[in-house]
Amino acid sequence: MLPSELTERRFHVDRAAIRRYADVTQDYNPIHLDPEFAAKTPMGGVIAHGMLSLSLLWQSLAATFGLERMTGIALEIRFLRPVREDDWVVAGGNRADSSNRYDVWVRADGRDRSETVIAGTATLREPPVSPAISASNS
Amino acid sequence: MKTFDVLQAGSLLGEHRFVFDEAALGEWTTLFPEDAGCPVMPPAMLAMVVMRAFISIMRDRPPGNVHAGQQFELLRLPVLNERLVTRLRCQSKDLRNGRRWVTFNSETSDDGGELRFSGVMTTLWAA
Repeated sequence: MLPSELTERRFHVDRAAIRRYADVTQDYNPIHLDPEFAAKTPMGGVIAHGMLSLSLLWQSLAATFGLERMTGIALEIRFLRPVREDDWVVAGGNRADSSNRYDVWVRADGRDRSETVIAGTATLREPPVSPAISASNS
Repeated sequence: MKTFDVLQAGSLLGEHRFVFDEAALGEWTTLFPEDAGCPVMPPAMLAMVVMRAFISIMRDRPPGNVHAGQQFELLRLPVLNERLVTRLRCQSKDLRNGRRWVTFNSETSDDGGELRFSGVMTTLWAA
């Protein structure tokens, strides 16, 4: 039986985390790292890598279903809004219907806001049919 | 410079190799310590593999691109010391309302050629 909600995961996106994510992905775009540069862009300040917040969604899925059920999973998301330095991000989701599909989201909680920054769906592959069930159906 | 005009839908842009080993996992767990000791590649590390490939292959991209959306399909999580190769293609490009939409397709396989995971990155291309 699939759960109705994903296990939520929280993460503090501080400057050190953004820097570490730049190092692991080798994405040193100054909009993530240089406050002076970022202030002059339409974003008006430093924003975190979108994939950093998406990582938290993977953490939520793995915490809910375990690594074995990650096989065959399909994830489709849109980046809706930027995550700012010092935001807390929370990832989770809800089962969409009786299928294996979940509506997933990442929310940013800042000093003066709480808003969805990533939204999409995660679809699990059907679990393998055990030999016992297969035999009883044949 | 890989501008919108230069990119060709369907073209292979390049490939990038990555080894999922203790060193890579160690880098990752500086960010997410809870993934330490994971018997396979933590699922969130897909982004590390794909973004390293994208950054390396598209190093002469115009500045200011926006990552608007992402799809992933995970077929099997790599095991420790598995060698991976990611091939990046320009899947499509489309000019809509003055905005340059470019999608990139990534396919990451083991060194035997078996697909491990794939992705589609949707971007607003800056120039």
